[in-house]
This record gives sequence, C-alpha cells and structure tokens, in this order.
Amino acid sequence: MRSLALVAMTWLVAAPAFAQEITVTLRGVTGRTSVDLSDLATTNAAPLSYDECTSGATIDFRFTNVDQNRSQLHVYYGANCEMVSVRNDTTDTSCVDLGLEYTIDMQTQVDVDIPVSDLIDPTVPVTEACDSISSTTRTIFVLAIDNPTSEVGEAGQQTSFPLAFDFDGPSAPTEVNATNGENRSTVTWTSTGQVTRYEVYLVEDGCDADGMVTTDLFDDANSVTGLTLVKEQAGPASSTTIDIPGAIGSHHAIAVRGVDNAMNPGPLSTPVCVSKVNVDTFWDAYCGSADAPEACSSSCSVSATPRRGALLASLAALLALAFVARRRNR
Amino acid sequence: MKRSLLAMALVLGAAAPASADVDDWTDVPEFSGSPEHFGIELRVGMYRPEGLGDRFFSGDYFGGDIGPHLSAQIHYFPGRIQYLGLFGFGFSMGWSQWDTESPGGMEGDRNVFEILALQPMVLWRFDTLARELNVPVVITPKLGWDFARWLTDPGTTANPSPEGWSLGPRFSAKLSLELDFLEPRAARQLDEEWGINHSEVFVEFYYSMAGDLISGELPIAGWGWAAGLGFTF
Repeated sequence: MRSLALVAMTWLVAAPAFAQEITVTLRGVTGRTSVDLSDLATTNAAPLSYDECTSGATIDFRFTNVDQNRSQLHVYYGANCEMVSVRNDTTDTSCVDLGLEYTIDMQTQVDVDIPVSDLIDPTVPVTEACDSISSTTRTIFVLAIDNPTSEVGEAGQQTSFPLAFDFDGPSAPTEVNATNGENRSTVTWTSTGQVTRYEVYLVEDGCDADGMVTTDLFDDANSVTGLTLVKEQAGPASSTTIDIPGAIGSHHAIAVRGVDNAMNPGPLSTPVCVSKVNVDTFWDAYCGSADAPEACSSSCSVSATPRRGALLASLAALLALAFVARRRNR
Repeated sequence: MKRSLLAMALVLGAAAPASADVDDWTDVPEFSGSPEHFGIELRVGMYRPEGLGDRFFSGDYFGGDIGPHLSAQIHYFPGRIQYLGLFGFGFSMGWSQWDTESPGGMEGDRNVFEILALQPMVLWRFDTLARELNVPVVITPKLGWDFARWLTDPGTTANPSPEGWSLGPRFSAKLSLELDFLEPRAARQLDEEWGINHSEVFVEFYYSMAGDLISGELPIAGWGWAAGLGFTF
C-alpha cells in the first residue's frame, strides 16, 4: 500500500505540466475602429474583405507567453502544422509555410503587423495574392521555433486560430425599378443573398426621353467611378426613396448594388431610368381626363378644415337626443 | 277497505280550496318588456366610391387605403305590426376618408378625399324570428336618401380644395344577431334599469347612388359595408 502511494507521488512530480499555448490577441486592423479575433473567425461575423486585402490593410497581432528560448515565430496555415513531420513533408500540402518569420529576441511578448495579403501569399504582389482566393477560412499556426525541424510540444511554442476571408460581394440586385416623380422616386429591387446595405448610384441626364440609358458609366458593373452615390439603405430591404435632381423633364440613370457584412460590394444592377415629371393630384388626374364629369367645373372651392370634430359632436348630440326622447317616452 | 279509502279521497277533494296558489308569494310574474320605439347603431366599415373610376383606386392615389368609414344611426319605430316586426324611419351620419402619400411629391405631400354623408331613411326591422321562434336573428332592409358632402385636397391652382354635394338613394340590408340569449337575466336587467330591450351585433351591406342620378354632381356612388353594435330601447 505504501509503495503504491510512493509510486503515485513520484508520477505526479515527474509528470510534465500542461503545455501552455502562446496567447494571441488582436490589437487592431487597419481601417477598423474596434475588432476582436472572434470577429475575424467566421464569414458570418466581420471577416477580412477584399478591399482590406488590396488596400494593404494590416492585422496587428500580439503574441504573449512566448517561449523566449526559441529564436523566431514562424507562420503557417493549414492543418497539423504543429507536427514537424507534416511541416517538412514536401509531398503533404495540408500545412503550408507562409514564410513569415518574426524574431522573438528573448521576449515573451511579440507584436507583429501582418498585411492581409501576406496571410494569403507573401511571395506575390498584393493584388495577385488577393485575387488568388475567394471566400474561405484558414487556420493560422504560429510556432516558436529555432529551425524548421524544431518540435513544438513545450509551453509557449505554438498557437493556432481561424481567420476568415470573405472576398465575394453579394450578387447584383435584380428587377430594379424606379418610379417617376416630381421630387421623389421610389426605387425597388429584388434582393439577393445576405446584404448589409444597398447603395443607389445615379448619373444625371444618363437617359433619354425614351427611357433608354445613354451613359456608359454603368458599363463596368464593378466600378462606381463617376457615379453619384445618392442613397445608402440598410439591409435587408427591397426598396428605398431617392430625391430626383434636375429640372422637370430631365431623365437620369440609376443602379443599385449590395454590400455584405465584410463590406464587399457586389456588382451594380442593370441601370434603369427615372424621370422628373409633374405629378398630378387626384383632382388634376380625375378632372384632366376627356370624360371629366361636370362636377369638376361646378364644384366650389373652400378651405379644407378638419371636420372630424364637428362630426363627432353631431353624433354625440344625436345620441343625446335619442336618450332624452327615450326618457320622455317612458 | 277500498270503499272507505275512496270515500275519504272524495271528501278531501271536495274540501280542498278551489285555487291553491292564490297566495303563493314565491310565484314570479311573467316579464313584460318596456316599450320598444328607438334604435341606435354604432358602425365601422368601408366604402368604395366606384363611381369615381379606376383612377381613384389606382396605386398612385387611393388604391392603398381601405378608407375607414365611421357612422351612427338612430331609428324611431312608431309601432309594431304583429308577426311583421317594427316599421319606422331613421337618420344616419357617416364619415369616410382616404388619405395617401402623393406619388413623387415632397415628403409629407398627401392626397385626401373625404365624404360626410347624411341620410334620412325608412326601415323595417323584421324581428319575428326572434320574437316568435326564439331565433335571435333580425333582418332589416333600409331605403334612404344620401346627402353626401365630399371634398378633396389638394385640388387645382384655381380650385385648391374642391368640394360639393352628391345626392342619391341608398339601399341597405342589415343582418343582426341579438345578444339576449347569451345572458337572458342580464338582458332583462338592462331593460328594467335602462329600458334597453335588445342589444345586437350586426353587419350591413349597402349601395349608394349618390351623384348618379342628378347631373352636375360628382358620382361618388358605390357599395360599402358596416359592422357594429346596436341597441333597441
């Protein structure tokens, strides 16, 4: 019995402590006011966008609890990158070496700024790297190593976390329509996919009187150069109203595009025309027709005053009269 | 033995009082309702002035508005004809309004059309089913004459707020369900304390020819329905 206890105590003392991983926190992403690592973890939250990739936005990581006896932090993506056999197997592509190395310099805390495009492929130009993938989620491995053959089983030698890249904007809205108006137009569309907001672009005098689009500024559905953003409508939505610029009789071209949760804009819809026209009141429309009744010319003109109060008072008087009559009758 | 019992029964029968319940103070006298000469109706519904044509009901103008209709009627029934019901005359005041955003106008620009209708009428309250057969259904045909004041806003520059009168007959049919059967004791109490003979819920369909018959008037003729609560007292 005593020998068993001795064996147990010996095992407890000899057992290695749980290998604590490197802790990773996000200090910031260029262009974002606040961000958390969990925001970048899935495409449903706030993933990295194509614009962030092409504009050279960087992700500012802080790694703590780093094994200061190791010489560098090395970045990989894929699966099983903590296994040296996988990392160094040239025939196994499940773990890819991004070639990003950062000196530990005997510190337990290391701050690094990594461009978004470098997390895709740092060996090619930015645009090429950004164009090389579509929406995906990568598991990033950061290992504290001395050389490619270093094992990473001890504390402060490894961490991994997911990063989501959403580079695909929503599809172009379809069935776009705009009502003509004197000052205001109602624009409607059929939405496609998950859209955070819609943007309505307009080109003044971009249509002719026959309702044909004459401007070529909408020819590239992925460019908004030269277009005027006239309305941003929070999604999900399928309509909005815009002010119609210009003079009566002017004809403008408009198109709509969606923007997703990663701020990726989709392509513009097919442009449609909207005209600034005089809008008839009901009486104008009714009496302006060829078969307008005689009442249109014989009706008198009075100031419109609220009649609801007078009506209710009359109804009350009517009911009171009824009850008085009733009491007398009894 | 049998003979003596029979004789005793005959004696008792002869000695018994002729009317045993003359002084029975527990007997409840039969209820007799108070006189029934008036009726009132509080109504909500809608009216469609078909005579104004498709433009009125287009999406640009009033097509998106059901046009709430509120009205009240008071009826007087001088008398009842056995098995036929109450005959009388009445007066109605009603109000309908359509109010929609002006298409393509500035924010807040609206088109409004309003009808205030006054209507004297004659009516027949056929309540025989309820009175004679205890079926709580009453049918009331009405024949009236609409004096309808209409107005619309905005109009034209020359006539910014046109308005006028349209006159014409109105034909109505009302179907009522008397509520007395739900709580007969409360119904009787209502009559005893307030003189309200019957309360009812009803639905009425009607057709107005206002503006259809007299030239120069705006043809606001159309059909409508109303539902509500009614009382006779």
